[in-house]
Amino acid sequence: MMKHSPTLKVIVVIAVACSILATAMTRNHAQELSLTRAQKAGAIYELPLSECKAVRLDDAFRVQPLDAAQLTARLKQQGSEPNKARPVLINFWATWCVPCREEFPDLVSIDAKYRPRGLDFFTVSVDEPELITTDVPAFLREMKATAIPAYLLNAPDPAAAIDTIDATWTGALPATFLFDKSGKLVFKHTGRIKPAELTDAINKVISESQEPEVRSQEPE
Amino acid sequence: MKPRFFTFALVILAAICCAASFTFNHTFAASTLEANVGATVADFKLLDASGKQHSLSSLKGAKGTALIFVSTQCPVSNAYNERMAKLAADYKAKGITVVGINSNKAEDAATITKHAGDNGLSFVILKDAGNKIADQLGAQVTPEVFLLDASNKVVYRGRIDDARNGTNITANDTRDAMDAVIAGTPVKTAQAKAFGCSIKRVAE
Repeated sequence: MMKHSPTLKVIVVIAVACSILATAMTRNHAQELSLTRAQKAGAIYELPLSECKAVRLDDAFRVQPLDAAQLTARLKQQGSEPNKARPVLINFWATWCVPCREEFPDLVSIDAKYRPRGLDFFTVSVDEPELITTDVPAFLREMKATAIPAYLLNAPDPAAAIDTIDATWTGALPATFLFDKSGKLVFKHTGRIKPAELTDAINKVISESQEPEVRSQEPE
Repeated sequence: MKPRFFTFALVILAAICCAASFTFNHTFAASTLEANVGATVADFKLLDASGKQHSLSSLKGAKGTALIFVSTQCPVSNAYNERMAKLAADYKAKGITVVGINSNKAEDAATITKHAGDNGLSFVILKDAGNKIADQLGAQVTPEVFLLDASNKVVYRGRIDDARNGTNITANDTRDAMDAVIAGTPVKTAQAKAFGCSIKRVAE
């Protein structure tokens, strides 16, 4: 049987102790992050979704009602029907929001490029409801964005709509969210979008969503 | 004897490691603070628009402090100018100080001073150069209130009220929270969100 020197034993003890330290730090760090996320998604944000109503502007700019619960249902539906599911991009904006207006041409370009490839993109204006037939459609026409489904949120309390999309979102505009075809939020950005960053994220979810189809077309 | 020494040394070192781990974690948490409700905001120093230095401890009211992230350009923040000025006036004598913080990179001291004068904002507005305090608190939007109690603990975070245009206000969230702090009762609605302008940071 081998005998170990005291020095070797001390080295072994220090190594074991360092391992314990590293493990503890990692675990505590994870717990801290987890707690922060839980706090952000905390119950204090919970409000009845039924209070939120939105109105759709279709291509002819006719108004159709849509509430936040239906918005949630639409996102969930993406995941429940795998054959029809598509990645969803949502942009929240307002006519009074300068960076929102500035980024719109980029969003229109992204829509033109990625809608044919399977991206479902729609915009949600948070302007005052009375602007639904005036400033909002006027801006969308100016941006040549009438092919993009557009909604105007008419929520007495916007907090519910904000949390419907992302519990960590504070309501800062503009805000852009990308969900994969299963309805999972995979990218978000508040403030003016960085087109390269957004298109990278879209390329990723588009390629992921098309993978099964590509495989099925491969010759056996 | 030797096995005993080995075990003893292991126990001592493990105890040291646990203590070190706790200290590290505590420090880490403090350095990445986002001022969610319940968090305590550490003292900080900023210059106001005239170049005078203030600290949170020098500004805080006897009952608490309302830090409001503001903007000179954001239409939503501007829609609340009158209400913010009234909030500051109404609660000064009640022991809560209103402090504005401007973290937008494009809004300099001269702009802030002129804007405050033009809009009757008589409370102190600090220039958060480099958006350090916005980062420390996790502020993203203007206007956004962080209401601190007398011990600088965040007891409310969010909007001023639920009506951007000032009509048909049904939830006076900030005033309700301030009244609760003064009365020493729990804040019923501790967080309430609203749409606003994103804070333009230096890193963007």
